[in-house]
Amino acid sequence: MTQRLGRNGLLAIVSLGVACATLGIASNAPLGAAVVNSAGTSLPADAAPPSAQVLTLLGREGTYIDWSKTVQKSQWHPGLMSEPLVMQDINAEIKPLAAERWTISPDGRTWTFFLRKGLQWSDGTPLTSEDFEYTIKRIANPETGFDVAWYFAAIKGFKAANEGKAGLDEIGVIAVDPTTLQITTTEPTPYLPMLLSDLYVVPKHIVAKVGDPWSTSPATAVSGGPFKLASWERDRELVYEANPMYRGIRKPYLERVVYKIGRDETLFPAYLGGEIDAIPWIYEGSLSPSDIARIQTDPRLKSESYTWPYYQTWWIAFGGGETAFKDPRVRRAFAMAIDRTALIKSVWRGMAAPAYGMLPPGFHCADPGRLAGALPYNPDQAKRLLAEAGYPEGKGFPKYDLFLRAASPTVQTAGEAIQAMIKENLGIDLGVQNQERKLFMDRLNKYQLPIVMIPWEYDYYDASNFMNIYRTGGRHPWSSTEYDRLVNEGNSGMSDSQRCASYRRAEDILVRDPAAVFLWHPTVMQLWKPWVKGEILKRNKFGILGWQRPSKGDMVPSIYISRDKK
Amino acid sequence: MALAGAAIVTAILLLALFAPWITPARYDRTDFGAAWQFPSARHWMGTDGVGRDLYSRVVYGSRVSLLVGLSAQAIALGVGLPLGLAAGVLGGRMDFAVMRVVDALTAFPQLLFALLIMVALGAGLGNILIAIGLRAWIPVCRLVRAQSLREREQEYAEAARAQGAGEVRIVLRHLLPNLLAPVIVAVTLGIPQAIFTEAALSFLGIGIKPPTPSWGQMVGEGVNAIRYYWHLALFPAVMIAVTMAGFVLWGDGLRDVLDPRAQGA
Repeated sequence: MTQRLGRNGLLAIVSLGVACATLGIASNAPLGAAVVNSAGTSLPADAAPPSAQVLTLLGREGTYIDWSKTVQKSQWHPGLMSEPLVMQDINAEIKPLAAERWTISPDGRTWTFFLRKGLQWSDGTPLTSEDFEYTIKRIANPETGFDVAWYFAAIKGFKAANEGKAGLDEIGVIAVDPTTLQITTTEPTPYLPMLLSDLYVVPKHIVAKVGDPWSTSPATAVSGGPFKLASWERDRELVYEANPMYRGIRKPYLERVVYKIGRDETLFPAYLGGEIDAIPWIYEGSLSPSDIARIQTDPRLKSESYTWPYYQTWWIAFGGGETAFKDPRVRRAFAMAIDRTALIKSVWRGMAAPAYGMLPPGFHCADPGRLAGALPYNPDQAKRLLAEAGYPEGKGFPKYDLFLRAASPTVQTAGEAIQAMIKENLGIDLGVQNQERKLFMDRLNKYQLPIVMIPWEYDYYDASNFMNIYRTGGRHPWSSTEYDRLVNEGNSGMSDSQRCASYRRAEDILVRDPAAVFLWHPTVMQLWKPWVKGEILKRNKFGILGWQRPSKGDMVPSIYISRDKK
Repeated sequence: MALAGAAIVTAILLLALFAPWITPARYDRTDFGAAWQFPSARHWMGTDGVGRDLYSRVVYGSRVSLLVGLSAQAIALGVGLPLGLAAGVLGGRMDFAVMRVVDALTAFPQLLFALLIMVALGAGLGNILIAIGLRAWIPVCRLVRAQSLREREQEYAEAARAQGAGEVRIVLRHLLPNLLAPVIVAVTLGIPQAIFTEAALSFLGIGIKPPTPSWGQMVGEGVNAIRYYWHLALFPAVMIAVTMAGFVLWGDGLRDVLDPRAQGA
């Protein structure tokens, strides 16, 4: 450990010397000359010295760092130690990362990515297209047990291989030479680079040897990204340090990222106590409505807060099989018995927008205004629909529980608000049951839960990211061939206006059938100490904060600590 | 102190009995326009995130706590007493079988055991009673077994036997009355434990299903808001503490009166 720091320190001094020489600055230059850190990055003029370039965060703990093993049980910052082919910038646009450039075949099905020369893993092994090929096949391999494999189903042969119906060798991915990777899709897939921005490449030479635990110990967690794992003490903290062997374009300013392990409830007190530099997470529960009330009444906290409408949608989904929800009139009655506005005003204290459709306002292809009147809050009509379905005043309606997935206390309260509205407007006794995440997901994936309240948040700025969930065989049992057809049409359309038209027609079916009762889009809040700086804290072209995907950690390299930190 | 305990227990009992008459609204009556209010003259303990009157919920919450506490101990008595007697009086294989079941069940920590059961069965009052009851009979069973082993060898039992009394008659006429006092104490002291287990399960969100109010569940939902809406967790938490203290004090007092041997222990 000491030795490593010593070497980094030496490297810093050497690089500083080199930088000074190149810039023609005498080594006795006054303060304010560009300081170069151990990763070889020149720090901005207002940056604190390298020794103070430490970002401390707090969050949940996963089993692996490796996102090609699991998403649900992963450590939430795969972008620190891995270099995807492409990345999303602060405007959610695709930018080259490991791939320098790429070409698409005339039929829109074959993509050729040309990797940057000289990329390497932190142990000095070259990072090549073979690593990418290996990563895709590992994700597809049913033995890996990757939990959101359907995400990459656009790649040719991927789904069949994942279901064990075809060999891994039949998947449309080939390492043509060490810096050329060819990916083939079944249908034209204009959003393929978006999917690939979440393909966190793993070191083939290590994973093939060590197996799944490779990412859990500094000895084997070889990094292809701007940081590498320095230590991981279970239940306490992970420390990442700048990776001096990194040759990509995201050279970090920070020397270290310290990630403490803690429960959600400890986030706000830790921030108030100055133990952490930020609460960047945007899932519900990282800041509760009462924390937000406190922040809004405190001028200093208010100036450190960033808030924006989030690309996430919460909805009620119905289960498969022989439940009362099989009758569309029952589903419509539920949709019309829930007063979204009252729910948002009370439970969320206004920190949400009503959801009328699947695509959040401002998102790719979204046009929520047209759906506001589709199934509006109307208790009388809801009652009538329920009576037509054979349950006047809710009589004879089976007893169901509304299942929640590891819900925060506020989401639990939202569930109780819906329970109260269903009781009041339809006369139906609905239970509310919070369930542990893994158990919930197992039962949801087997279509065993009759009625659930669940969110989906975007991974990439493209309507397919939301619309694909409801295709037959997706997360929910509802199925419509017309919906499938329209979404597939949208997915492979090459012009944006064409694509959006298809998606909107599909969304109409989803809302009017209805397949789901759409509830709200959260307004999220982050807290950042004033000394944390960087491009990601600027507003982007949509007028919202640049760092939209904090859990991926891919933009951490653009953060630095300013001299304001005492 | 025992009197204070008895007074608290009586007060909680009255709250539970007369809940509908001493609260302004039903526990599940929502008023979305009046959400997140601090305590006031209108809402003595404030309102929660869906505008339910917290005072009403706290009062109704006493019903769940008492129901769980008393039912769990009824199960404890119903199962523990006969099994303990069987083990202690019959001995031999019966004793061996009962004690191995006891050993197996005590191998798990109480709360972990209850958690396991709840995760397997799902939330709900009935399941809570199963989760608590499955373990609650063990202290009673052990106590009864140990006491009956001892009492059997006492001179009065010997005397009864010498007069030709059957074992059943000895158990019913002589053993049981002598066992009663320590059993009552054990059962009373088991009530707060059961109440606490229910509160812990509901706090974790796998106990009582909403909208039925349970103090543990209310603390669980309110604790996240405690830095600003302090009232949501505070009042139910105080009620849990007071109720537990009441039963423990009362139980201790009962022991002093009924079980002179344990005095000062």
